[in-house]
Amino acid sequence: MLTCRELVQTLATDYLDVQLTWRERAAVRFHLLICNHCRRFMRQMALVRSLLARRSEPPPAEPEVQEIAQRLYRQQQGLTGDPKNS
Amino acid sequence: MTPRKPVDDATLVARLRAGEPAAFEDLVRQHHGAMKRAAAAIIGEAQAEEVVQDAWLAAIRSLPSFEGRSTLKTWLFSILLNEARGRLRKAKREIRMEDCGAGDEGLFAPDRFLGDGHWAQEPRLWHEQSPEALLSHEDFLRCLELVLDMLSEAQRSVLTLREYQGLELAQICNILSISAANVRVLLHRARARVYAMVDQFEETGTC
Repeated sequence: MLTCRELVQTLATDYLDVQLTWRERAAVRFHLLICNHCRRFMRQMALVRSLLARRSEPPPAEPEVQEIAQRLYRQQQGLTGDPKNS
Repeated sequence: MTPRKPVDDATLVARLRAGEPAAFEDLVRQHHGAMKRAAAAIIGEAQAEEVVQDAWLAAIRSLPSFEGRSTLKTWLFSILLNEARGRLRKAKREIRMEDCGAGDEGLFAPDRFLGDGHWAQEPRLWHEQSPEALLSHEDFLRCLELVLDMLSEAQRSVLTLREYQGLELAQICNILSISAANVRVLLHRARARVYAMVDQFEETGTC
């Protein structure tokens, strides 16, 4: 029988990444069915993961955007433009 | 500044191909930040900027062959990851594995569990139950940055690539040239650190 310690200390994050064998996975599922402490723990760990996924990106500074955009624009024009006109 | 409308891929690509200068700004504005974070996770802050610049140039070169089978973002990131992986190999920069040995193996101190493997005390109930609620606290954001800064470089890399970029474990192994077992250990430790911070914050409002 899987213990709470084994579930938390070694299997929990592999369970979230779907890295367990079907047998281990079944053991974790069964344990979660009967153990509300571990269910709470797993919910919390899932919350931690979604926190990281939702951390938003500070938007790049506008001068930087324009500088890069201009460089890319020039490159594209050089590649696709008519050489006689460039 | 007026809020900008989200730009749909097909329209944006058409504008880029037509050589409309503002389209390039929309493209960069939309994706540059996320590309830099991904690059930094793989190759480190110092070289991230350069890798992203190379990826942008490569993307513009391949723009004529973009077929819209994936989203523009997925397509851009596959180019970026390729650039970053190439750079990593060339630099023979190795993800340091010193923290993969024995150490803080578990998420919790061993005394959180009884001899028979049951919880000694139940995990604390968290007040804030949604990521949005937590992320709206200024103090929490600071704590999150702090704990991420305190991770080892390798832990931060795998955590960013997995949770933020949503890559599969096999892709992470491939990009960083580390074994699946190492990726799993690094992820486990990194999540444990962040979990401990959130647990503390939920209890005390600080970290």
